[in-house]
Amino acid sequence: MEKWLRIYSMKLCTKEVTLFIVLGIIILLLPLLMKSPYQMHLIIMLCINIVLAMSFAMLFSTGLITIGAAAFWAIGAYASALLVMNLNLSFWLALPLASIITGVIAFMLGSIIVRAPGVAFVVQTMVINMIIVQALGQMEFLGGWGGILDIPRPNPIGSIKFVSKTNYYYLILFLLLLTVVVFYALYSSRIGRAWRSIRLNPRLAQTLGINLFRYRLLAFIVASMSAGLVGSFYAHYFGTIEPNTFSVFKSIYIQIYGILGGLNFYLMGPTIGALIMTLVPEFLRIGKEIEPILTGGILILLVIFLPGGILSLPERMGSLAAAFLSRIKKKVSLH
Amino acid sequence: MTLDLFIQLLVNGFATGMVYVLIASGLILVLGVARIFNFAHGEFYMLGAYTTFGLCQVLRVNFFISIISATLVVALFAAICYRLVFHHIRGNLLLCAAASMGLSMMFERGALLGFGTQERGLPSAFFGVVAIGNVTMPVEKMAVILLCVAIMLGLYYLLMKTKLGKAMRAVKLDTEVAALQGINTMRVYALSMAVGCSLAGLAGGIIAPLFSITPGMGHAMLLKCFMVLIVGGLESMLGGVVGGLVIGMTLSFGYYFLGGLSEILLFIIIGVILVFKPGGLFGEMVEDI
Amino acid sequence: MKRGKSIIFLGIIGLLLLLPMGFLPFFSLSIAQPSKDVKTLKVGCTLPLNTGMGVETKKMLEVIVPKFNDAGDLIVKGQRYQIDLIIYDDKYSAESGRAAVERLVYQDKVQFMICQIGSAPIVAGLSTTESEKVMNMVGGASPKIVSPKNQYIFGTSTTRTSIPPLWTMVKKVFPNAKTVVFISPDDETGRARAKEETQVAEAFGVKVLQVLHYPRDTVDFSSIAAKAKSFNSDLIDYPGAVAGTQFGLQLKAMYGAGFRGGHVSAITPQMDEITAVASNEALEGLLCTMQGTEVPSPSPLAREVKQDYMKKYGKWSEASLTWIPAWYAFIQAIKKADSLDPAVVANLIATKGLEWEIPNGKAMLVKRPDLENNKYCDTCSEMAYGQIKSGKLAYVGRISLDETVSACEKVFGGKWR
Repeated sequence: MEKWLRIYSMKLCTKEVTLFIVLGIIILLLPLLMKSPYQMHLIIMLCINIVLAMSFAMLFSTGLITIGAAAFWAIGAYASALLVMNLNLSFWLALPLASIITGVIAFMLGSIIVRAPGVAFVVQTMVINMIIVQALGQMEFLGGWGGILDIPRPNPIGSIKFVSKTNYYYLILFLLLLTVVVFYALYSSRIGRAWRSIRLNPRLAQTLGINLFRYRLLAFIVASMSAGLVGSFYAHYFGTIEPNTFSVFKSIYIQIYGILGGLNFYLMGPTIGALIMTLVPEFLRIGKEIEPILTGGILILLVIFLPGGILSLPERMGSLAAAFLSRIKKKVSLH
Repeated sequence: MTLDLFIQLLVNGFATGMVYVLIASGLILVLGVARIFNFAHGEFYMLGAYTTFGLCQVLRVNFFISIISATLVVALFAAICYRLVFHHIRGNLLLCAAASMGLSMMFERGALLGFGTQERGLPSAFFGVVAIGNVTMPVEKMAVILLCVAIMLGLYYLLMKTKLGKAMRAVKLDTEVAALQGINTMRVYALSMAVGCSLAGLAGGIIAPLFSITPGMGHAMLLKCFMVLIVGGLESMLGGVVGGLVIGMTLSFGYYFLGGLSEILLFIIIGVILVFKPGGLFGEMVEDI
Repeated sequence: MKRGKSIIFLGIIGLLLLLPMGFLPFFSLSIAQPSKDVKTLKVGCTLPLNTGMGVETKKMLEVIVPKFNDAGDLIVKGQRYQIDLIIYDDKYSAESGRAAVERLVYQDKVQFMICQIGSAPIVAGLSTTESEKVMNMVGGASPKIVSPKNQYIFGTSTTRTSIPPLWTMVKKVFPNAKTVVFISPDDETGRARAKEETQVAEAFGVKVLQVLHYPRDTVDFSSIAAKAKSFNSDLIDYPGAVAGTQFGLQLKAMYGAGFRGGHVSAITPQMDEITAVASNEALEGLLCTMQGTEVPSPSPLAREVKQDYMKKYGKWSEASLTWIPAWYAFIQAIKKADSLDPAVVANLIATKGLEWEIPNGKAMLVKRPDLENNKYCDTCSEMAYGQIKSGKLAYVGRISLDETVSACEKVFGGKWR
């Protein structure tokens, strides 16, 4: 977090600026570098997972752990699909509407569950997730367990048609950057400071006059809206949605995305975590049947050796380097 | 609905419920003492079932000896897992949860590849039916109930009367102070994991003749286990017992009356309980994790 | 300890950086080794390798395909071809399935796919295979596969068409049965099958008293069995049940609840698995389909497949042939069209049909006018049936391909040929 603040305050150093410009160019020109639509598909799924992971991280920044992120992803997806298919709305209208609907539902559910502290909250998000999956599967008019098929592509804007992956990629990239910008603005504002103080010490925050419930509810709503947003994108990109995609296990995976990257980094952490968990299983397709064993093993190793997440590496490298150097110094000084 | 039927459904619910209680108790023990939310708990249940099968069917060992041996094997395996994996990240709930997910992935696929795709079954150790008045009940079900109750009583004795149990409860209350009292917290963590997972393994062995043994049985059981914890409260053993029985009864009566919608009924009941008691029936409101 | 840990850090980072090598085509998963003068034809397949049936189908394909390649039987336009079968794990889910299909189509550049099983992965990958004109012979059970909009996908398993011939046999074996109760899993397949079987049963004059659904992972069937027994029907049917111990548990529970009527099932039970959980009395009289390898005089193909499989793996009891027809259909289609252009082959068989042989006997593509699809899109085959007597599956009779198609036409309507 501190690193981000340093960069965005006016004290930029040229090395970091160059790095960001180069990265920015690579990201924008990615479709040209990636020849294969399969790789583009992975990148698009990665972007979706990043946003989902960031929504988990936002709640975690207030000290709440959720195992229900996938439920709101589902609400966004189903809402958008229904709006476009049954009410004949344009995708561009359905996209924000789905997000808003998700926000409203998050407000209603959140008002009930955000009051419950810690452990109870986790449990309740799990229950919400399970109920939503079960409800979506039982309702025949939502497609039942088979889900909704043939969800139309986003309506073309002018001459931009959504046939190849490239245009989808730019759309999800836009949504991702939108989410990043909004989240960053929130994190660096008074609200973000309030969240961080709530996470550090809820009672102390209360004594400072911070209304725990209101700030946590806000985080809950914003996080869920971002999940709803990518849910809408997902529905129209994938073309079909079915209830089991949004199960509790997906929510647990979303939590792992957050953990792997580093729980103290609310934007970069989820990015790295999602990167690892989305791409590693695909890389490991070589392993055929044993792939989950390898992925599980890597997950365990990463959790044990990098408990602060990948992004704690620079600090640990720093301290290791310092320890190493001091050992060398000792050896040298003895001679 | 006849009395006959009512009693049958009641006993069914009790039997299923007691099994859930057994497995959930293990999870609660591990969660409370070692602070590990073990997503791989279901896999230990599965391991117990397969080990019992292996000993009983393949090596032709007596069923009861198989169950006891299987429990010990699972306990040992759990202790090893603890030392290799959880020991390094002890205390951090989230990291342990993530690591246990990793273990779960490995074990489930490992079991499918290692034990083969054929689903297994064990012949019942108890045959026939017993008639109480007008009601006929399979002896199996009664045996399961009795076994589970006996084990739970044993667990109660372990936790309340033995030194180890007191150490576990002390560690659960406050790890630091327990260490100050001279309790070897690391050993307690490892033992609690061993005991907790062996409960699951034991349940697997007991269940094996009743139901089937498949590599995926852990997964399905885990979800039910979570529901028991949700209903009963994450930290309370009594909550586990009540929660398990509530779930077992709901499913037993629910399947009969509602069929597939019994899951929805379950969720509604859980939802209602949570509205009035967000921490679960016996849950404590814990501020931080 | 710190030094050790830092080495492991670097090791993990290095490992993660090396992983992208998995993208290289070199590491794709092929089975057959090409030799000189022979070109390779890549064929894709995604299977749920987290389930028994996926692993079994993979094992079966790993026996059939190399043997086929050794025989060198595929000659198109004078050029001999070997099949390079690439199998990915779709984990029975839409997300993994879609990623696997995308990889097959865009990275491995396959133009043909076979043997997909789960409806979720098939439907998820449908938009990709249809838009890239990949001919896909699938096994899945969902009726959405044979929707008229699709042009390159063909359902090759007999799941959708096996019910009318089954009930023809039911009328022969249980001539006095008037009522039936269905017990079905509460998932897409279960609900679709239950609906279908209701239509069929009633067309054959047997009244469906009730359809009971159970959550997919149920192991305790005592309550459902009690409820099913309370209707006192002549028969119990199990649409959409999965062949395995769960099915055995259902039979056991029905027996325990006191049901002594007839049992009917469209699937072939895994005998080893159900005898492990249910007593012989509980299983007695179950009427079900029988694999072509188990009938009194199996066809040469059936015998050959069983022999080759047992040579490699030892025992036959776990083997599954349910989803294999796709492979045979695929080879026959290529030969018939004498072309490797999926558009040409798909178009030919969609308009002219296809007949081929599977271990169960003869199979052919049929139209589904009842689902508004007038192309050849689904499959009917000869069916053999057995009844369990004293814990063993005994042969009862056969329904020929003609009879099967006629039965389907009678129940669902329209001309299927």
